[in-house]
Amino acid sequence: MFMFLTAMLFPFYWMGISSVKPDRQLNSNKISPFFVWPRYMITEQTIKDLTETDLPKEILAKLAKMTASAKLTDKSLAKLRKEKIPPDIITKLERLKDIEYIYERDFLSAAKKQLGAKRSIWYRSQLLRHAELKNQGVIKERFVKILKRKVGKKQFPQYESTIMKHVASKHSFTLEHWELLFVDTLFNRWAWNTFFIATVSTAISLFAAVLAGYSLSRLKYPGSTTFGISIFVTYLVPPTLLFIPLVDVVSKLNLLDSPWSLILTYPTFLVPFSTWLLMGYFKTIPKELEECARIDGATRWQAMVRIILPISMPGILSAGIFSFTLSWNEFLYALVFIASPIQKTIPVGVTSELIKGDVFFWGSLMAGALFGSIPIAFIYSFFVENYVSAMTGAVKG
Amino acid sequence: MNESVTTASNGTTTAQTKQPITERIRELMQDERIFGYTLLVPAMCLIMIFLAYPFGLGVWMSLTDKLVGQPAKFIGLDNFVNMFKSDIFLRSAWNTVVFTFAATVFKTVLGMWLAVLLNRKFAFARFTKALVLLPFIVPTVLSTLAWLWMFDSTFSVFNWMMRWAWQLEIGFFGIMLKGNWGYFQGPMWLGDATWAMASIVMVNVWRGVPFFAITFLAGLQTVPPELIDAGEIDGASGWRRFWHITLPLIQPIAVVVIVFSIVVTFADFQLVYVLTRGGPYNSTHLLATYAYQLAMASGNLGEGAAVALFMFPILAMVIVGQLLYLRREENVR
Repeated sequence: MFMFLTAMLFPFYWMGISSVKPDRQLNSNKISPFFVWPRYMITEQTIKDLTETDLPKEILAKLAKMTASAKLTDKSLAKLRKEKIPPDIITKLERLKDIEYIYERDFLSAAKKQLGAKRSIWYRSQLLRHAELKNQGVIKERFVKILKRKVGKKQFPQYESTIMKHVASKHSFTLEHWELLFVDTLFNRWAWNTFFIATVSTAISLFAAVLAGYSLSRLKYPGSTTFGISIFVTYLVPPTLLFIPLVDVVSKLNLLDSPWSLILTYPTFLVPFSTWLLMGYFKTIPKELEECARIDGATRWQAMVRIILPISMPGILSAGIFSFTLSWNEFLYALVFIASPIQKTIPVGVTSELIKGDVFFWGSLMAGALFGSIPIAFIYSFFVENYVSAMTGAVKG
Repeated sequence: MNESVTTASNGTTTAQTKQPITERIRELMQDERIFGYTLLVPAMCLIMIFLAYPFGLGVWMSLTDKLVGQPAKFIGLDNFVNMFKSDIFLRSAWNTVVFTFAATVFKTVLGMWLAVLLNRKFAFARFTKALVLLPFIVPTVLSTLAWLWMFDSTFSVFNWMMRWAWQLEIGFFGIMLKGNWGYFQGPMWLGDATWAMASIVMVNVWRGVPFFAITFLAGLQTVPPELIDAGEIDGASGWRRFWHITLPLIQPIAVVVIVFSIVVTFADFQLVYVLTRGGPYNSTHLLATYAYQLAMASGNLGEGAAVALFMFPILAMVIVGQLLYLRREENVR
């Protein structure tokens, strides 16, 4: 049982951890990937605190030289040019050359001033990768090694505990990937697109499905069983079959690259499923209710809307939630019908924009994956019973 | 027919000339048949325009040599003939069969096991059930991205774990043994032909087991406990009770779930597209991804449609088989 739970849930833990790890730890083979390693470094505050202690002055002076510093050299600029950073950005960055910054953060804020606030996060991360960084925070063992070298092996054991007590242990838990996701990419727009498309297509398909389900399960007329079976069959025509001719249809309707192409094509798999589900639900309601209503003078439409629908709300809710999930989940149609980045949905956007060539922005990819799943998981947590009944109802029906 | 009614009533007061239309509609709607057909209109409209017509168009496309941006020319069954001669197509078809078969077998076995485990009474049962269902609920592409990172050729978690275990086991002697031999790399999950297939099966099973487990659980809960108790009294062991009493009773549900899953797995696109795009040397190309590659990447809509259409008869056979099987079961009872 426990085995199953770990297997099922491990990828989610992995998504979460990878989205808050700094790049250096993500791309490292030597440290354990399961958690975020704290970084150790000496800051100005550490030096201040250490002056209070009984540490000898020479050692303090040596430690002061270890405070985190960053420098941009010609070599770094050459590497950035290789990374295909645009030349105007490089000229701006050249103004930072050869200034030695005592703290990494001052270096970064100087870079931000040069680059401007817009789209600077991506370039800043590239910059950090290639700038010469000294003592920018390492894991504990490495830090101790560096300290031993600086302080001298003989003297180190004496002062080890004092020094380590004041060393800033900066948790390298970082939100830079999330920042990149929300600021530098069009993720906010994708999230809105996905939500909009999912809601409207669910509404349309629920409307069609409720009407069709009611008609097929509670009214008798020639062809009702045939229609019922044909609805069942259409569910089994997979999108992977239809997407090629649908490109033609959608382009003739002039809807390519518009969310309406998705809103109108999603019901092709949402409606059959919901109808099927709702047919099962409607069949469990006794016929007497309608007949009583009609005897009391209600029209068929009123009988349906005022009597049957309120009773079958749980079923409609289940179908609605399942449809919402299915359309949030959909990938192929979104991939094929939508081209411009601003119109993309989350699944397509995350896989296409965060993978440039063969450079994968793993941290942001994981953050995007996690954030894309949160709304669904959130809705799900409130409506678990409805999900389960939707699934089992579909199978039994 | 109705015209004469209104014209007859037209001779009377003016108030009655406006009513007939809405009244007429209301009266029509009281008729079960007309109401029934009217209710079907929205669904039928959507399905006709976006499902039936494209399906026909797809069939027609597969019989032409349509390329993107060029008019189509009818070439009969040439697409299909070329298809069967193509190595890649045969490989994709084989891959699809292997993938569906392996994934379904694992999903059934593991799903059944999980269902049995969930059927017992334990603390936080509902919460656990909800947690277990999570892989199925979360969008496929997004969870597959997590797996993509887990299977990464250089930084894979699994390889790291294996290396760590290897080092633990051998320890000091490992340093002597490994020496110049480099260190244990672990399988190249998405880079090697067989391992790539294993990886996609693994991810599909991870996603599908909750669905199987929950539906099997629903089935298990319909088994009356008296039958199992009767078996116990008669001296049957746990495994035999399961095999001979429980399984036959949940057989109908099991068959429906399995067929459902086969249909969906057969047409699976998202998983393979994200993980391998068809894989090292087409070794994980499924029919769906191959059709996508032909149609979108190469612009060859005719051949793409032919490959996509090839899936349909197989699926139809599976479904018809299941329907017949169920109907036979019902008749037996």
